[in-house]
Order: sequence, then structure tokens, then C-alpha cells
Amino acid sequence: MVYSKSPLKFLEDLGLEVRSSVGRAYLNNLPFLKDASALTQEYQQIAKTISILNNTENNKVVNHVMHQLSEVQDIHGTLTNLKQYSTLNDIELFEIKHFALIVEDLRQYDIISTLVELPDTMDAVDVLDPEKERIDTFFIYDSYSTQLAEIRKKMKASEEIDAELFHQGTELEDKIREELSTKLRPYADQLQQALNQMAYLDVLFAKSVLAIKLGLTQPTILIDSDATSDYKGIFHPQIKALLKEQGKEYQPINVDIPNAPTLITGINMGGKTVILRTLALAQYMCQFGFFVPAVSAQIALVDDIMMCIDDDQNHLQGLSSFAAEMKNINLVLSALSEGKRPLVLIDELARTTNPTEGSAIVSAVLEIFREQNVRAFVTSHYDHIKATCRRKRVKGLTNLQDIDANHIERHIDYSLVDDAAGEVPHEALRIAELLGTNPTLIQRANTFLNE
Amino acid sequence: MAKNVGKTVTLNYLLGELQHCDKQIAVTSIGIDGEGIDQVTATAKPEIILYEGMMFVTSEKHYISRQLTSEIMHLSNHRTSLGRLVTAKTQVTGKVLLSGPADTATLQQLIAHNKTMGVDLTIVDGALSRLSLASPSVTEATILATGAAISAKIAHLVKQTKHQCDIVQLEQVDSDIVNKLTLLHSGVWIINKEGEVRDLGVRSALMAGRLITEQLLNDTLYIYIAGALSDSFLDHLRMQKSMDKVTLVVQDFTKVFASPESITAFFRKGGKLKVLYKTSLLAITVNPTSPEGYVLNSKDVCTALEDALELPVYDVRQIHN
Repeated sequence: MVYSKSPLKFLEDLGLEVRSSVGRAYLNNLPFLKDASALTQEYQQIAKTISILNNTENNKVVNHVMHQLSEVQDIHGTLTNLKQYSTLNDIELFEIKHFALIVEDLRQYDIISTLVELPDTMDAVDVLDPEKERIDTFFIYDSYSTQLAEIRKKMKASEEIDAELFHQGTELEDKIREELSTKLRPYADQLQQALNQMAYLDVLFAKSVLAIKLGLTQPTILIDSDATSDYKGIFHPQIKALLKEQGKEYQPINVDIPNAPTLITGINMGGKTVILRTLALAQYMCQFGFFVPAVSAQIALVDDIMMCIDDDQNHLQGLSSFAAEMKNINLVLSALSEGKRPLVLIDELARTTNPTEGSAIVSAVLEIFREQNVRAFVTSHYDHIKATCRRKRVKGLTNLQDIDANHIERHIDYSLVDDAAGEVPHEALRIAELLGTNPTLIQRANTFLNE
Repeated sequence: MAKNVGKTVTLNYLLGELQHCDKQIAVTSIGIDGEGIDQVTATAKPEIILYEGMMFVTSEKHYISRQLTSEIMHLSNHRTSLGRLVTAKTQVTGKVLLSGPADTATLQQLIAHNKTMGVDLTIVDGALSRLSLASPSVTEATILATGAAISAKIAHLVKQTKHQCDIVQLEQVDSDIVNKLTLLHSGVWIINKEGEVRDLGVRSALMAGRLITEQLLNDTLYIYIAGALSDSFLDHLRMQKSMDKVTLVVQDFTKVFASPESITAFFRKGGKLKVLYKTSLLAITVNPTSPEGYVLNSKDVCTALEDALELPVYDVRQIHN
């Protein structure tokens, strides 16, 4: 809901690379799956593909297959024309021949037949390749009609361009196009099926390459929808890559998501927002049939992912942060009342209002989520949150000797620990100091704090 | 150089001459060309005739309406306003409307792709309004078409054409200077007397004017403008006392956007303008008939142009017949 971009755009940002336009179309229509067996089957396909990709003996074939996939054009429109009894033009006939030849080529490889069952398209190729040359070029060949061949011979012999001969030739060509279209029509469904399989194959390869590139893991789907999801060593691939660029290291963490709300507290810069974003990403990837960014993952399926993270999108719509938040909370509550079981991720609920009312709002939301067994992570800086719920805290600052203001992250332990006491950490001023904030300001603030 | 100067006739002449050569020829165009009726002046326009064995690249729309027999070799993913680009080989001689890619990058890719398909020579039907495509980074050689459409006075026509030729044929700087500058793709740079390359720290020549001081010119041998050369920069440089001590360098002639007046004034005062990459200008073709219908004396025009340009000059109407 409150995702500013489509989740698939996020996958592209992660470096997901589909090669064909049919693959892209397939990706844009990927369903958010809630069916454990369908997902498990897809993960097995990815695992199979990864082992194919990892076997260096396959390199040459894999490169060839990837190239062939990039050559696949979206001939959906042409096939629709064919099915609707249109006579195809030369370009459309070429498209079909070009496509069917790629299918025939790919069918011969074991690595493909273990992954998908491509229908036989040889009969369609034969219609468009009367001389059985198996080259992907096309025109209305002389061998289709002796009469046409005769006319062309005359045309070639004539000095000038002969308009009459040209028109006679065109008439014959049109008749042949009509015949070819009729002969191809019975194979339209097969070709359509092959096109769908190619799109699937393209996306499957893209998913598998992504899994290898980012070090993703095959999740185990928990059949019991009330079970606790559990991630070991979960990470956000993009942030990890960004840190690596800056010579910094990403600390993967362990997180579990029970069938109940969790309140997360922790210092500024403690990565609370990153945790929420990572959980959302992992759940999306899981239910779109991707491997997930973690060392291991057991995941319970949800109906939807509802995020409320301030990302400037609201301001563009002219809503104040608070108004946007309340609108989003309403959306969550109405989804709950419809019986939906979403994963809810809310960043610093009611942060823009006063702490007294703010913490009351947080308490109320947590209370409602607890009563309705909502799988939710809510972060907050507020003290005095009275609701009874599971509480976790980012471990925070450690090892405070020799602090390097440019590398504060080296002194933060990002892991989540139990926080039964519910005391929010008071380290904002310490962090501000480390960030090199004006000392007078820090001193004054400390004075106020101690009054 | 303009509309109706006989570009298409020139192309047809070339293709006619090439029909029996054993090299694989491919023809394409910049955007739409070869229309039955010229889209600007509505005068009749000859179509492009392709001979058996020649390849061509055109859009889907024009492929379907072609008047020749041809075999489709390739269908590109690149979309133009008239559909995807079809590469085909002529089986039986006939006419076709050419509409190729409208941007430099796609044209470059297309020429490279043609090579992989066994094409020895790709001929591009261009236009001075799309000058960047005549850059030596895209095409290797150029034929300039001029004609009565430019001016009805031979002297004026020659003057205009000579000016354009001078720009197309700007001299190349020494190869060590080319090596020093070839990787610089933006900004304004100088090479001083010690041979050191220095960035003037501005993004384009538009902002560089006031940095070109007398003091700088006294220590500078070359000024390189990696982008477009404008009137304002050229005029500013011309007005400096030591302007003739330096050589102004641009990437190739397609980067010269200054007006004929500015360029002439610059040269008259002794200014030096050179390029990193020289264009090979093969010939001039002239169409002595203007779109309004008056006809210049073919022989007079050709002789006048030949004398002024020292290049082969062909009358497109005569070569056509």
C-alpha cells in the first residue's frame, strides 16, 4: 500500500535482469502468491537453475540460451491476429519463423527441458521454411509458387522496373500469405504456449542469477499461517552494496516475526527503518517466488504487506506527515476488519506530534494489533508506551573508545535484543556529539536534561 | 545542404553505379526519406531504387509498402515513429521508402550490426539539419549535395557551398595533439607551451569567454572545446589581440555551430580552427533546378564549383540520365 514504487520496480533496482520484452511483461504481472505449494515448486525450479548456472561445464550453453532469450520478441499481437483469422504480413510471418526457430533451438538442450516443457514448433517452421534451410530470414519464397517464380524471373530479366509484372507478383504473394496464415493457424495455441514458457524461462533465469549475485537463500514456507517467521542473518542487498562501496560492512541480523505486534526501540542511526524495509523486501521476494536475502529463512505467508514509512511521497500529495499516517493506519484497520492477515510495518508512529498523545496513539495501535494477532513491527522513540506487547531494542552503542565520527556505524551493534523493561535508550545526545554537533548545543541540552 | 538539392538523386546514382560491385551494400536513412512527395515543398521526389542483392534498413510501415521483393534478415527492437526497423535484402530490383533511425547512437549501432551481417558499406541518406550523423564517429565519408535551391545566383551558390565545404574539411591537428585530447568529452581545455593539458573548469564554451584573456593566450598553443563552438565564443576570441597565436580545436566539423559570418571574420583575422577528426569529403553534387522551377546552366555551375572547391562536382540531373 504505502510503497512509493511497485515492488517489482524494487526488484529491478536490486539488479534483476530480464532479457526479453515478454519476460518483462511476465514480471510485471507476477502474482503475489499465497499458495505454499506453488511457491515451494517455484523455489525448487530456482534451485535447479542455480545448480545449472553454477556448473561451469554449462557456461557455453547458458550463454547461448541467454542470448537466444534476448532475441525473443513479443509476438503476442501477431499470434492474436493469426487466431482472429487475419492474413499476416511478411514482418509477422518473419516474427513467427524467427521465434519458432529459437524454440526449436532451445528444445535440444537438456538444461532447458529439465526446467520447462517447450512445445514442438517444427511444423510452424516448416510452413515458413519450404526449402528447409533453417535460417531465420523470410520472404515469399519462389518455391511457394512456380507462377511467382516465373514472374520474378521475368522481372529480373527486364531492364526497367515493370509495374505490370510487379502487380501480378504482388497479387500472387498476397494469395500465398493467405495460404501460409491458414496453414499456421492450427499452431497458434502451441506458439502462444511456447511464448509463455519463454517468458517464464527468462524470468526464472533472471531470478536465479539474482540469487547468485546477491547471495539469496531458499526460504522454507511455514504451512501454519499462525507460525512465527524466522530469519537468520537477514540483510538488505542494496544497503549492503552501498556500504561496501563506502568500504563499510553490513551487519546482518536475526529477526523473528510472531503472529503478534512487536515494538522496536533503539538509538538514532540504529537501523530501525532499515529493519522494516528489509522485512518488507524479504516478504515480497518470498511471495513473488524469489529467494530471500538471508542466511536462512522460515516464512509464514501473509495476505498483503502494509508499510507506513515516511518517504516524502506523502508530502508530494499535500498531506502532512501526521495526516498521511492516520490515513494509513485506517487502511490497516479496515483491512483487518475485512479479515485480511497482512504484515504491518510502521516506522515511528505518531512521531510528528507531542510525546504524550503520540505514545497514547502508539499504545492504542499496539493494543488493537495484539487483540487481533497482527504480525506487526512498530518502531518508536517514545517513553511510557503502556500497551503489553513484545518489545525489542537495537543493541546500540558499544565499544566507545577511539570513536571515529566518520565511522560511527563501527560502534553500533545493530542486532535486536529483548527489551522487557521497555526503557527507551537515551543516547540521542551522545550520538549527536559523535556526529560533531556544535558542543555548546550539546552542553545546553545536557543541562536541560539534568534539571 | 538544403531541401531539393538532389540528395536522393545522388543516392540513386550511387546505387546504380554500385549495383554490379561485389561488395555487400546496405542503405538506410536518417529519419524519413524517399517519400514519393517531398514533405516540405510538395515537389515530386524520386524514390530510392535498390538493386538485387542490396540490403536496406527501413521502418515496418515502409517495409510493408515497399515496391520490391526482399527477404527479411533482421527485425530490431528499436522503435521509430513508423515502427521497428527491418533489415532486408533485395531479391528483385524495385523501389522503397527509407526511414532509418533518427538518432546518432542507434545509427552507430545499426552500422555496427550491419557489419556483423556481412555488410561492407552502409550508405546513409543524411541531411545537414541532422549534421551530427555526418560526424566521422558515425560515418567514414561524406558527399555534399548543393543546388539551385540554395540560391539562383551562381556566385552566391558557390560562396555558400564553399563555406560549407571549408567547414566540413577543417584541417586535422597533429596526431600527438589528437592523442592528448581524444578522451576529453566535455568542457574547455588548453594546451600550453610546455605541452601540458589544463581544464579551464567550465562546462561549455558558452561560459568560457571571459576566461580567454590576453595573458592566457600568450602562454597557450591550443584551445580545445569538447562541445559545441558558438558565435559568442568565436567572436570573443577574434577580438583578442593575440588570437592568431593559438589554434582553436573542436572534435569534428559537426560541432561547429557558429554562423558563416563569425567564421569568416575569424579566419580573415588569421584565426586557426582545426578538428581532432577530419571528415573525408568525396564529392559535391549539384542540382541546377530549384524547387520553384528555374534552371541554372549546368556547365557554368559545375565549373564554378570545381574551380572554387577543388573537388569532383556532378550534376545530379545529368548523372541520373
